Amino acid sequence: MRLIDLANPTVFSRLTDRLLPWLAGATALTLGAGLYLAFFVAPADYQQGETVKIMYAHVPAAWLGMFAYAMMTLSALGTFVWKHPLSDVSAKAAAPLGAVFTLIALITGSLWGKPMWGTYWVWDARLTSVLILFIMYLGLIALWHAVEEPARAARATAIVILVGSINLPIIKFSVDWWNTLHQPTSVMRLDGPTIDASMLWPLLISAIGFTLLFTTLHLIAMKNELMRRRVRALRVKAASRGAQRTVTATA
Amino acid sequence: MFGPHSGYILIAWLAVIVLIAAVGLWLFIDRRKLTRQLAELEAREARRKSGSTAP
Repeated sequence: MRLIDLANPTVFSRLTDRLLPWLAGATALTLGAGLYLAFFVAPADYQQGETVKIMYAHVPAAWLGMFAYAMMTLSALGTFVWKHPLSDVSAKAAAPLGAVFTLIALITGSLWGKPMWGTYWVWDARLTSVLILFIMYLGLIALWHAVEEPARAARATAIVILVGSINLPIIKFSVDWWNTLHQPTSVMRLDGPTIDASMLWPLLISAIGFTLLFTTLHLIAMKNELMRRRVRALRVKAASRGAQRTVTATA
Repeated sequence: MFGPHSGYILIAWLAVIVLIAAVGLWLFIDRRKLTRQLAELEAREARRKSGSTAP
């Protein structure tokens, strides 16, 4: 099957129907294993103690908050460059999920910060840039709802998404470019992770579980969006027939 | 169970569960609503087509 075949909503729908049960099963298994490892196998941190358990939700959520936006950026390119019909559907479905995972990162980070830093919030570069990402998600969701015609909404949001993607490298490198209260990167480093393997493996398995969860929710949201567009198309068709009948009757 | 900061850990994980459950519920309700709307519209369309082709 070629990628272009998935542009057909029926083909896409059939494929996701077959994929979703497997994805849901894999998500439950991996998330369960990640939670078990995080809570019952991974040791307490020598400095942070048991509060490090928050990391197993905070870090995957933060990664997914950024991953969702990176995916939306690719989808925005898909809308402009390849004009793939599912690009906008994918971006629109990913936005609320990205917003939720970013919100989870903000809440869990704040609850981790209080016992470790003595405060829930500081306006440092990392925290502020992630808050901006969350606000951008909300703005994009509002824009999709404000423009009624899907093709126009797709173009308008794609432009905003592409402009907003400048925030992704800022989030990633904020801890290197500025002095932040947030700790520097400890997993995705060129010289290898600085985190101990006894915590790294539970974190990676937890991250895989959260990513599978995101993928499952994203596919369901895409299917919903396709149905919403079909409902809209049928309503527009019915309304135009009604208008045509009125014109004929008055003529 | 998780030391002096167990309250923070539990609230953090509770927030994760509540938010993900809320998204799941929203998707489920949205899907049910759309399935019903689509079925109604397609049935209306089918009635119209069969009506227009009737002798």
